[in-house]
Amino acid sequence: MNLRIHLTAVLTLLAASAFAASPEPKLLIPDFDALTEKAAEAVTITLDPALLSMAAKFLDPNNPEDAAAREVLTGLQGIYVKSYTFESDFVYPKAEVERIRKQLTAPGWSRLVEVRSKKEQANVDIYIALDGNKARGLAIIATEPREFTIVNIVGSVDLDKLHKLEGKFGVPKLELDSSKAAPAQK
Amino acid sequence: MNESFDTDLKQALRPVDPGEDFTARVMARIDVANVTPIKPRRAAITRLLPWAPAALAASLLLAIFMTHDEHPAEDPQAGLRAREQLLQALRVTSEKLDIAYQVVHNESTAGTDAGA
Repeated sequence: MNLRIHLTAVLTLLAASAFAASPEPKLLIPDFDALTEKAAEAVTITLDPALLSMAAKFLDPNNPEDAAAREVLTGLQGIYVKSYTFESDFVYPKAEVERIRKQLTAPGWSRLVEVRSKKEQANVDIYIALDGNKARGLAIIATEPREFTIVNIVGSVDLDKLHKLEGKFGVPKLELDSSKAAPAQK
Repeated sequence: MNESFDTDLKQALRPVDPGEDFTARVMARIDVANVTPIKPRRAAITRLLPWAPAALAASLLLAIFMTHDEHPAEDPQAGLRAREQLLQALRVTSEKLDIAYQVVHNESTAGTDAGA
């Protein structure tokens, strides 16, 4: 009986530690219904695995943009984007942004790039969810006085492939030099 | 000879009234306690493979579940909409990566210039 209790406790601890070790790559992004009403432009994109698969079937291999998208899609399980543009400054709730940021302090998430532009008042944080050496998710939180964007990509994000989007989607060569990568603030 | 045989046969096979108590007599001879109910015959397949109906039902349910697609690929409108959303999502992503790159690149260039 005691052995069974101990075994259960050990297994529970092992399961808990395994769960803690692998980050949850899909963020809990609020609906922001109130923001949608305030925004001059609101973009909400929810591409779950089924929709990604469907989208892939409709990509034209002869179109460079479509071909590049297909390359990036491999290994992805979801893309979630919420982007809002406003006609006045800082109307989006900063507390909500912080709530999302807090999810990215969980074990496994690392901040890859932190940009604070005083001139443009633009902040861009790029986070990556790592499971060992494998990227399992990417998150971008970008805020400007009149713009607020959250991007969450779930799946084995290949930065090299994102890198290859250069010139097709306006993505530049992202030089993820170790000296530029800021460690996650825990 | 033949007439005699014919007469005997008719005599033997003549209709006989069983009497009013015939039913009562037959019922009295039946030993109700020893009568075993006749089980309905099951189909050969269910006798040999008793789990077959359950397996068949499960297979049917699975087939229905698997063929049911929340986003049917046959719908070109939905497919084109998904494609457009994907391209837009990648555009937004690349735009934000671009902002980060510009700042990192500018700072890197400024550092190099200052060091020179």
